[in-house]
Amino acid sequence: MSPSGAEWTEITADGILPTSRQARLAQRGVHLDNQLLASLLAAQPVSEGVLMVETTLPSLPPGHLGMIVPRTRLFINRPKAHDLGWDAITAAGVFVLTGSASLAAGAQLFQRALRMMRVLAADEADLAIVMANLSEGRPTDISLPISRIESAYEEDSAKVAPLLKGLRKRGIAVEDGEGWRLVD
Amino acid sequence: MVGYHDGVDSWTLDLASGMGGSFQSFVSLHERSHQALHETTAWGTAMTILGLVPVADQPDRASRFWEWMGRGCRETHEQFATLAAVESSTEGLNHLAGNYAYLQYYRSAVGLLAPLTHDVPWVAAADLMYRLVMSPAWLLELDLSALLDCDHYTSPGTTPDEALTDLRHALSDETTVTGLLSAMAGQPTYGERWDAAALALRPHGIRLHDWAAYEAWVPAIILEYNKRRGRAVVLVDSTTGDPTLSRIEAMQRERLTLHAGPLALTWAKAQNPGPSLSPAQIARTHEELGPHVVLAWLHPEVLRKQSVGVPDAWAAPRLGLLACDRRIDPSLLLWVDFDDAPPSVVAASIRKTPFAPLLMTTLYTLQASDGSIDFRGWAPVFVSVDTPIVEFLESALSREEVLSYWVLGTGGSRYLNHVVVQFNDDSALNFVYTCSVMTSRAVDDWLTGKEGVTRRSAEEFTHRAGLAAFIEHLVGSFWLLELGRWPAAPPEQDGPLPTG
Repeated sequence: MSPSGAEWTEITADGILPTSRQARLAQRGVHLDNQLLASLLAAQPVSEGVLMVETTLPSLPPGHLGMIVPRTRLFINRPKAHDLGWDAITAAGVFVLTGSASLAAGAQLFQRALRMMRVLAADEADLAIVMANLSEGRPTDISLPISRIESAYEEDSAKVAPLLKGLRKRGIAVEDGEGWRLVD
Repeated sequence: MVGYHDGVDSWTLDLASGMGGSFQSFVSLHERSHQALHETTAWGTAMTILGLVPVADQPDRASRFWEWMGRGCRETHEQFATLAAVESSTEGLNHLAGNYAYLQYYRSAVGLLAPLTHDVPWVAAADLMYRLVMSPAWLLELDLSALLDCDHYTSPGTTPDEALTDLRHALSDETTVTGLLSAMAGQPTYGERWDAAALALRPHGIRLHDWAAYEAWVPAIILEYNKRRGRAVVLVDSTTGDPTLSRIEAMQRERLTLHAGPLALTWAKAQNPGPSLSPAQIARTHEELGPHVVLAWLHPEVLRKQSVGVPDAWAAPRLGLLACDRRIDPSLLLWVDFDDAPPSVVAASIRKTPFAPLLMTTLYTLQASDGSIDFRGWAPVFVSVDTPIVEFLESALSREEVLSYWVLGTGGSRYLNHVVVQFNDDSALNFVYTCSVMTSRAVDDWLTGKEGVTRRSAEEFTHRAGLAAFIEHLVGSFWLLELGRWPAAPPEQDGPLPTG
């Protein structure tokens, strides 16, 4: 299968997430495995029609069905990605893979994370990702002192408290005696 | 390439890359799933039979038709096999990280079945949907002659991949989804579920055969095929009987490649081996076994499978010193030939040298050997199992022989398991089935609890050093491990051979 048409752009795994967002997250201590993120998104039905793989298969004898690791090129349909809310989709991917290196584990959590990301603004989604990172992938189990979250934000630390309050108001985060955590 | 299904009736894992652990099992499952889809559908049955008809007996267009059939089911097959392998293991998806092509197959399968899997388990949904698309009605209008005569240029009908596209559209229709769910939940038998589901898809132009027609067509075409020369096809009802037997019967089709290809054979007569086959070239050492040589009793067909350059005149099993030399390029298989000298005499001579004889043969060789051959002095002997293990063990058990077995792993560059079998507490003869981890599990599951069968712990195995050395030689010398595929059926053997 080969994606054709002007709407398709070839990307690498590193280009799944916009560079600016990657830089912003990296500044806050979130380092991505882009190949794992691309793999996770490529496995999700939500990416059908958005993310397409062009495969170059090595020649096989006729009729053979080979389990191979083929040469592949990744393409994205940016207009369709925009229509589908790609930012929320990628944020959900980053969220479930942060603190967990397993594609299988991330895939199990993806749908729930996507439902959450669909209702968050970009800066709120980033905060959820930072909390997932600080809690080593357990943002609903481990409460984080606000000071820890603020220190991840460095000079932007003043943004943290209003963002958390906004999440709490919508039932996405709670504050307990030990700090802040997301709601399951 | 880590593994492939041949489009007919077996699959191969490439272990030359050192593929092991759970990834090996994942690939094994993937390829096994291709076989499962092939052997339980009309499309797969037709491809198997067309693939088995000797090339000399079929017109060129039949092989072109077979190729067309292969191309026409690739997407269907890969989606099914990838989904099955991923869903059969909690960590399965991890093995596809970075493999976007197969992740796309997985995504397509999950997306296809999503309208159904809220209500039925994915296994049931995948099993029925992918088998349905592999079952176009037009195919059952062909008997074997018509199949061999078929030409894809005349567009005989839709392919599974075309039906899969139609099915995807059909599953976006709520009425159809309701009809399919009702078919799966409301019908007591598989055949009734099949017919109801096929009926639900008919309004979308998907023409599938009904179950009764399939049940009549499969035995008829197999009967017709079996009248011809070539490997026989056996019709098995896998819905009844021992499921562990069905599983091992399938898994013993698995072939393993250990190297890129067969070695060139360098051989000489024992009376005058020359410097390239001197004891120094043939002898090996092993940390536990010490200096030794491999004395092998092998059928020439075994040598032909594992090497090139075996003299045409060699027809019967023969004795030789076996070694391989992988320090040079190309690597060589070395054979010092004793023709049909009595193994016991040669083994006794070797024992007078600084080298211990490590004794090996294969089951195919033994089954083709003269029963009077003198094996006294061979203890322990390692017999590599290279004919179907189920038939071999069932035959022994039917003679009420007592059987002990071990499932052992060995270190080294290839991740392999070894099912070692001894009969009647005779520790001299050790039948060694070297296979993938998945296959060893299938053997284990099948043998567990059988009357007369005892599973032993690794500590109870007394020839570990010998086995480790034997495996090292086997993995070095042989490039392909498979059961069967011999040019002619060897004569029946009454039982395990006596040893002294």
